[in-house]
Amino acid sequence: MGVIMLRNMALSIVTLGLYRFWGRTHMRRYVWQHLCVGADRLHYLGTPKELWLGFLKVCGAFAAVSILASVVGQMQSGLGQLVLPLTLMVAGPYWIYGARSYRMSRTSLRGIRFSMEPGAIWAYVKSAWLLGLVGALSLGLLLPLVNNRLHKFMVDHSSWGVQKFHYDGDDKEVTFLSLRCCLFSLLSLGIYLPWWRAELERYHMAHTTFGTVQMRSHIRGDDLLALWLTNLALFVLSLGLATPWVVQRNLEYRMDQIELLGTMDFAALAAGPVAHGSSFSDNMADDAAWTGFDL
Amino acid sequence: MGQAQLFDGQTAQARTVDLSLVQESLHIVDANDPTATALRWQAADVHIEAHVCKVCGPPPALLMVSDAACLRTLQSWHQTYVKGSAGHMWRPHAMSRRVGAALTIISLTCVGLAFFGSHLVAERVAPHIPLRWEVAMYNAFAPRLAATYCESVAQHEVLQRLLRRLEAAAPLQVPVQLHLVDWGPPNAMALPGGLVVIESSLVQHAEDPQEVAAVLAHELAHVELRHVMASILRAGLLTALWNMVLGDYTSWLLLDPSTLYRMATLSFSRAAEAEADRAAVRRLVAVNLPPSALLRFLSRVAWDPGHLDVLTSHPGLRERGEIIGTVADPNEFAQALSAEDWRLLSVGCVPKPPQPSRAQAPPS
Repeated sequence: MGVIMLRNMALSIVTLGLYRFWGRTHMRRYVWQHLCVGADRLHYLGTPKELWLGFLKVCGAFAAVSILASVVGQMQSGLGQLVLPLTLMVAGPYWIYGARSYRMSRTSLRGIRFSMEPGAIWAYVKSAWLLGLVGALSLGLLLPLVNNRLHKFMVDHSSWGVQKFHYDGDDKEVTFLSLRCCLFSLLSLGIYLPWWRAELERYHMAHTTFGTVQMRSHIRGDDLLALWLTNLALFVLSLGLATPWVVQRNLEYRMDQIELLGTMDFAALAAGPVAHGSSFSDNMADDAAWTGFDL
Repeated sequence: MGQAQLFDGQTAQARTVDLSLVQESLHIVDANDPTATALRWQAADVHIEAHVCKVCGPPPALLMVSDAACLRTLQSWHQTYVKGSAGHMWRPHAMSRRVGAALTIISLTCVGLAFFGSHLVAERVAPHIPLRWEVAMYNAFAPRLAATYCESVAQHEVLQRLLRRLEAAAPLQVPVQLHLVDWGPPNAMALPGGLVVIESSLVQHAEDPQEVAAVLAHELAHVELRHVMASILRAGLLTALWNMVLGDYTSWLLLDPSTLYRMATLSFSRAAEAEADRAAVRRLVAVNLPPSALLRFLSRVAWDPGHLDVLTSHPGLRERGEIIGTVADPNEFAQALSAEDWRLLSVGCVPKPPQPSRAQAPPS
């Protein structure tokens, strides 16, 4: 993975960034095919051309927003500076959902594609706006509830073939968990953060099902703390060149902690309708680093 | 030939299949139902990832081949038909090299177009930019700069007389604002909207007013030829191009974009300076002043980069000497300024009197 990332970097520098779409595709293919569910590996079906076309649309969108900002700024001084932040606020949820939809539709396992529910994107955008307003008006106290609802929306609208995922996490439980962990983190001056992150991830996994299969995570706070500290040391001492190894260590640890309980009837798992997503959203979300999974 | 697990993309259930090769086709038959219709995958539609024992057909169908010998046979078959006369398809493992090479060529072409194209566009477009837009730029920053002007009222009038002497050759389309500043080493600059500033240290280093007049003629040439606007346009175009293509790898660049921009524009800066030298010589001759004064001054105060002039924004002294020296000084010429005016100007900036503090009582 380090070799791929370093090669991507070198070729991207030489080609002034044009190679990064091919590099990103290679990286995703590598990572996907090394993610195993039992004896089966994931398969990445995206192409560099899709990312390249999405990037051209992104350039056009940015140009349009910049021109709009200039025009508005000429008409009313000061308002032009609000155009870009407002655009991000309004379009951000759309891009986040679109990016996830694109990546899932380009991922297959045992020949069956994953998917986000077609047509649900605007429902997600509406939910994100309303919930975002709730979070803002509560001065952040209800953010755990907001995040839980958005997480539930994403999971419930995800599927592998015709079988949907399901998340039944309780808002009150998540809110209480988050407030408790937040308090401990404040009292410990942030040292408790890895335990907070681990507990939240265990909760999410424990309340996620796929048909008759129950998911579990055995992630631990002390392991996360050790991982974060060693990754930080690696990153800093290598001046950032150890990024691929940092990413690999994170992925390896998190994936190794996931357990699937139950049996699945593969014969009944048929291919379902696939919302193909948009490489435009994939590019926008990547450029804004919103996906939290920068591949 | 062998067996494999087929995932047909219709269900997640794997099926054991028998594989056989018939020329360009891979035949796939259900091992439990040989009478079922066989799948046929063409070599051009197949992609093999041997390190994970996977043979990918038309998406999303794929085969998992656990038999190493069978996998090797499939690889040989694929290489035979994919790189042969069946089509000019690249081998998969060479794809990234070819893509990288193609993109390198494309990007070098784009760099060339940007490098020369931005200069051509800026040169062609700058003269057509309305002067009032340049004056608007000047109005935007002039109030802040005004606090740094350090000439006295008398010195300002001397500068205006010098300016009128030089403008007599060819009036400029934009009214020139000429001021003394004390920002640093000997220098003079033409800024947007006709603002020309001369460093106090420059007039202090000059031996006679002809040298100051020569430097001023050079800066007036920049104003006349719209070099400032062209430079702004070129900077804007190059910056936009860098931002567009560099994407999220800017932090990995060995040279940051601003350095690349400066290096890219240096040669055009030198061309503009040479053009300004030529125009300055014409203006000086037209108002009966010696062009050699410019070379004399530069020889004394300017650092000569020699062969390193490719890294500077101005041509080297030798090249400038060749430009300026092509025209002989007039046999007789009047001084650029009277002795009194020169005495007033050559002292440089006049320190401003300190503002009375609140604690001090006003003079009665």
